[in-house]
Amino acid sequence: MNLRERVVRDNKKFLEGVWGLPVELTGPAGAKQSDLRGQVIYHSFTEDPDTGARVISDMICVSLHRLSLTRIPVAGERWQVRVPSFPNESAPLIDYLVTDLAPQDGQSIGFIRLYGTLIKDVSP
Amino acid sequence: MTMAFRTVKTAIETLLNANVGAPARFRVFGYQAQQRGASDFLGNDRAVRVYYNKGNFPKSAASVEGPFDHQLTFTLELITVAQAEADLTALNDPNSTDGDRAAALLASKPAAQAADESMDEFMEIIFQILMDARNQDLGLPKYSIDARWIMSMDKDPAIPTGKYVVLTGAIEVTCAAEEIVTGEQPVTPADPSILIDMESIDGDTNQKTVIEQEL
Repeated sequence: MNLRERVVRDNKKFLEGVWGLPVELTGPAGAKQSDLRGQVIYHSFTEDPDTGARVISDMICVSLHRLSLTRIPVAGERWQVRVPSFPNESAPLIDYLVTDLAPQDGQSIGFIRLYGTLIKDVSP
Repeated sequence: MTMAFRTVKTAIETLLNANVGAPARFRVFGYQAQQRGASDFLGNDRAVRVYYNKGNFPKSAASVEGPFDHQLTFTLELITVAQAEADLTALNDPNSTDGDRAAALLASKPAAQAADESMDEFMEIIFQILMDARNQDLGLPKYSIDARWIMSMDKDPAIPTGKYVVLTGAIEVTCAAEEIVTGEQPVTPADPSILIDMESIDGDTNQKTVIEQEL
């Protein structure tokens, strides 16, 4: 096993192992994947566009291993991602729509990051 | 005596509050509020902050002792916050088919689009309130102000980070009003008037040029 393959394998273990949380993903064709695990970051450091100051933003970031996905999200597609409302295995899942920020691709070591905005239910 | 710009600011705030509607379409703040978290605006996701921005006093439009023409500029800072919108029943129902979920995702609305549409509607509401002919005096007695006008409407780029999309904009409102100067310590009834006796012209004692301060 070369060094890159080892990094990819370690990364999968890191994302889906003890740090992982249950994740559900629904693609634009409607296919749902409910058996996923991934790393969920609930807050990120971002820059205030007005002042340039570093602020903590409640931007959710879901990192998944590419090998675990049946289809890889690409920019411009609409995906639903469901993650626990707080970092606990049994927490109720909440819904995010992946569309405003393009997925960030870590192809070389086999992960993809999804950013979402909360979904307001408009069921008829 | 309260200066006109403060009265006009309160009048704009009162007028907007009177037109909030039911259920409330927006909230009104009469000051530049501290930065707030996006989640504070959810549920009532639009707010307008009204504040006096600047004023010009054209020298040619005033007498030495007043009243003074005050060209007022107010800024109305608009804030909208939006979530993405989708039919969650179709997306999460275990009996839904792939086709149902695909249709729900296709019909979903990204948060940035929802925020943009909300801001357009908000600007329209504020414009229609302030430029309504019935509100020409912004709710003040007739002729209290002159030439109320919306000079510009600006929309800022959306702030893309976060679980909500925040969009801000600004509307610049101008009008003119008269400022009466009473002095920081107003003249008391015991000292009821001030007479400024100007230099007599060419020693003409019969036709003195005087200015009397109005109290």
